Amino acid sequence: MRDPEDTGAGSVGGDSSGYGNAEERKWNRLRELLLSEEEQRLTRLEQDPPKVEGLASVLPEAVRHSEKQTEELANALRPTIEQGLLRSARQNPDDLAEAIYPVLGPAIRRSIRATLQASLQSMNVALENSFSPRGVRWRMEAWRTGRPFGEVVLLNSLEYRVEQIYWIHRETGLLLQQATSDSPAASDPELVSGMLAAIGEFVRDSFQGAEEGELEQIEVSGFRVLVAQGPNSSLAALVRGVPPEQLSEDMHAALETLHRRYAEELDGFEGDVDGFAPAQRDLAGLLGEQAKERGKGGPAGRILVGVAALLLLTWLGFWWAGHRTETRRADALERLSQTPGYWVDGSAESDHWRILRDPVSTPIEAVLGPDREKLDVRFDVSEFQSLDPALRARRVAERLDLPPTVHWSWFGDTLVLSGEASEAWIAAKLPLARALPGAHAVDASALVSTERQAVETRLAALDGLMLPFGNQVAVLDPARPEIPARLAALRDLDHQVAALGGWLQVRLQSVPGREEPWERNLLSRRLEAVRSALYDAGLLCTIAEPLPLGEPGGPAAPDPMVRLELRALLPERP
Amino acid sequence: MIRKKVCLLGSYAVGKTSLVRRFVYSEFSDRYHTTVGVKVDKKELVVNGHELHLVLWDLYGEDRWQEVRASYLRGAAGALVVVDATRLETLEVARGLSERLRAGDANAKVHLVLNKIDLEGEFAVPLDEWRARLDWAPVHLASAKTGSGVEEAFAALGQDLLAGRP
Repeated sequence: MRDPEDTGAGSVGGDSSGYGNAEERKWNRLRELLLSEEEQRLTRLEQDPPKVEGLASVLPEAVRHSEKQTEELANALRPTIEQGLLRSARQNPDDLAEAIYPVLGPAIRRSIRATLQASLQSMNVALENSFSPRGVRWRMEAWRTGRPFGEVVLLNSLEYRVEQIYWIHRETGLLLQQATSDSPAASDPELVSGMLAAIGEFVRDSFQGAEEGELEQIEVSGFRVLVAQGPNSSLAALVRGVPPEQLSEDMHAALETLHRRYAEELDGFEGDVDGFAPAQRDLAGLLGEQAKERGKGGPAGRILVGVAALLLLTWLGFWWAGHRTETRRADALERLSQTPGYWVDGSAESDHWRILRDPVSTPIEAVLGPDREKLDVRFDVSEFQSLDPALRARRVAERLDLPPTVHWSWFGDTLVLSGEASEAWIAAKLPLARALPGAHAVDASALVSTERQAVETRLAALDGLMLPFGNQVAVLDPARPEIPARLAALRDLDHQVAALGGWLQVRLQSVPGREEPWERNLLSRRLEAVRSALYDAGLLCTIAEPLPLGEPGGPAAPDPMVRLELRALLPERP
Repeated sequence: MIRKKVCLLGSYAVGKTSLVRRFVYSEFSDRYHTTVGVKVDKKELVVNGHELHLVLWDLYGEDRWQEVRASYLRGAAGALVVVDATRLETLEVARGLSERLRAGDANAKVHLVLNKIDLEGEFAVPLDEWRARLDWAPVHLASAKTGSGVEEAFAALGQDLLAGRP
């Protein structure tokens, strides 16, 4: 290329070569004047192409400029970028996953939330027609809080408590930080996090292959360990009960926050955990619990709770009253069955008891006391005779109206009576004694009649009574005082014997005096005299045949007399 | 506070678990060995004024049928590789495990423990020869049975793990 200055100088200096050349020079001159600057820039570009640094400084501006003008650049770059991403995803998926992890979680959660909301809507419809006190209460809660009814149902159906949260470095399994509730389930978080990491590695190695198998949940006797995995660390929550899906979402959200905030520290982790201490606040936010039945509620809820409580109290009252009645009945049954002379057919649950009672046993009212009326039981009482020893004894005493002088005892089934009793008592009670239940026989041989005893005594005293006569006299001398006394004693005895239903038998024997000549006639007349005197005295006794008279020369009394031999003829004892 | 993952490695029956038992109180059941293949324990040390928590991964013993999972070695800052002084074959297992650990992390600290030194009459080779053969890492003579040298071995590893820290 020519130098324009040189060219110009040459042109001004004149040209003798002809018109054509002159025209061409003019055009050239004009071209130089108009385009020399661009020509010089092109020459510089050809000689010294722009450096990468220079291009880098103008490229962003150029791209922005291009985007404003047209979409050509985006269209041009799209295949290249897609290829690059695909290649990166195939060759180095870890880096790509790590790079998009912070955005991946929220996106997935948003998607899940949308799906869940749709599900909740379906559940809403399904529950629309359900009507129960709990449903009404939950509906009121949904109305009050503005939440969908299905969500309220889900919330009220869950019950859990997050007791511990571990933030664990993924590669080493070391505990970065932890948050603990008041009553932690595990004692040493460092060991637990180590074992969780080991188990996680075991699961990953054993079940799913190198990368895909991730430990998400462990169940250990009432506890669940929920695990949220991140690229460099994981969160583990020890939960008692059934946690909601929301907890897992919260854990992932917290893990993403921690990854964002501690990205550098996690990358260069060398075991120093003090730098992660501020994360405790984030972890503590995940602790908490969800009660199955929330205490909070609106007025309607409180009314429902009140009504429920009232119903419960009423039911408890009925139950308690029934329970008390049954307890009283059981106690009464126990007391009756323990009392001699009772047999009860009934139970604590029944209100009609059939009772067999021995009349001599303790009265029902005395056994049951004032509880009798509270039992609310109808008694159907019949009598029976118990063979209980105590009752047999009581029955003997009551039925026989035993006087204190009579003693009794049982000899096997034989009632043995002894002692002394009036003839009337014996006559009246002995047949009753024989009719006593359990008394197969009555032995009254040792039982003495008081009246018979008295007769025997008096009889013994009067037997051989003498009525004196004077010598050669066949008439009783009324002046002799002993004669009326003896006759009176005889009369009394006769009355006693008659009272017993018997009669007195008297046999007479005339005995002559020692100095008196023996005369049969005289002796006979004396017997007649005594017989007559006895008759006159009103004695109802039987005068038996006189005894043979004494033989002449036989023993004789100092004074002549008539001797009375007495015998009481009594009826047999019943 | 500094936490470090430390693995207990070695052939079967060299006394790894016994060393850990001697060193710490084991909380987890030994059944983990047969199920997961690892049992985690912890020992707290103070090294150069630093509170150091060693989280000990007591791995099952390696033999010809069962190889230690590489994933269990991942993230270990160091290891105590245990050799049974009465069994020469445990030496090669220890060497192989040390190499695998360092292959995963070249900076991992390896310390060798020649265990069962109380059985001096039953040594596979004389002690000097043991020392000569155990030449790829610091060696500690120990007996889990008597407790001799156990604390020292763990303390030396702890020192090594914090080497370079102020």
